[in-house]
Amino acid sequence: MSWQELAYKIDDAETLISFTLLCISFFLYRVTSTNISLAIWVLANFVMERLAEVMLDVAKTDTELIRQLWYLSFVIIDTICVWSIYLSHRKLRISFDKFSVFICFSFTTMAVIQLVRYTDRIIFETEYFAVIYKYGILSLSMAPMVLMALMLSFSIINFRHAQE
Amino acid sequence: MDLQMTHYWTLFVMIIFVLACLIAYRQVKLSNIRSMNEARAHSLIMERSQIDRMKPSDKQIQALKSWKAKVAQYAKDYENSSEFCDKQSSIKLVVNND
Repeated sequence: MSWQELAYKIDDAETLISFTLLCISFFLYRVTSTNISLAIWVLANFVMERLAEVMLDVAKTDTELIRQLWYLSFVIIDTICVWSIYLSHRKLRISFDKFSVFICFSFTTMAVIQLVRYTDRIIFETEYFAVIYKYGILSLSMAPMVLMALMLSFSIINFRHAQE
Repeated sequence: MDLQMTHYWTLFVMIIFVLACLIAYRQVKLSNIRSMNEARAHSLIMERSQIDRMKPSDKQIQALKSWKAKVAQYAKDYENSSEFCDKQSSIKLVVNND
């Protein structure tokens, strides 16, 4: 199995687990800052995965077009997501919690990494940031899921302690 | 348009989007600081009203001392956060301690 196939499999599992965590969190806490951000995160992950598949398909016939669109499309999605989190909080008059700030931080860092990688790979053709891109994007996309799993487990444990 | 030019155009559009992303993130961060300040100010006001309702005793004096220390810390943190936070948008707790 190549690295790319493994990364897609991990990404698929991550989206599925995040969606399950979102359902549990929504069932427990309804509309909160964390749930809004997590919902946008899950949706963005799903869209990016499907888009990557489509782009890889198109790349078989038009490589140059996909070389231009690959990084650009992810940056656009990251930007739209941060703005939608900000606007949805303002519209619903909800305060930001630390988890939402962390999700926005992850989106922003991913957008910056995409920009740096494009400059490194296409403009300068240096390949200095290949490793940072490979592991950076994957770990940034995994981090909110791990954090959410920990937060939910702690809140369920606290809830059970409070009931005893 | 030649290929090199296309690369530069793509880079230009990406920079615009990354800047928009950074601006949005800054807005989120400022809103977070604001809501944290507001929550803290609210809890300090609630604590003071509880102290005022207590009967005169050593316990009340101790509680008032600790409350004053918390307000001083809040004022310090507020000044630090307002360096990069819009000054009019978060609660400035003005307290007459006497």
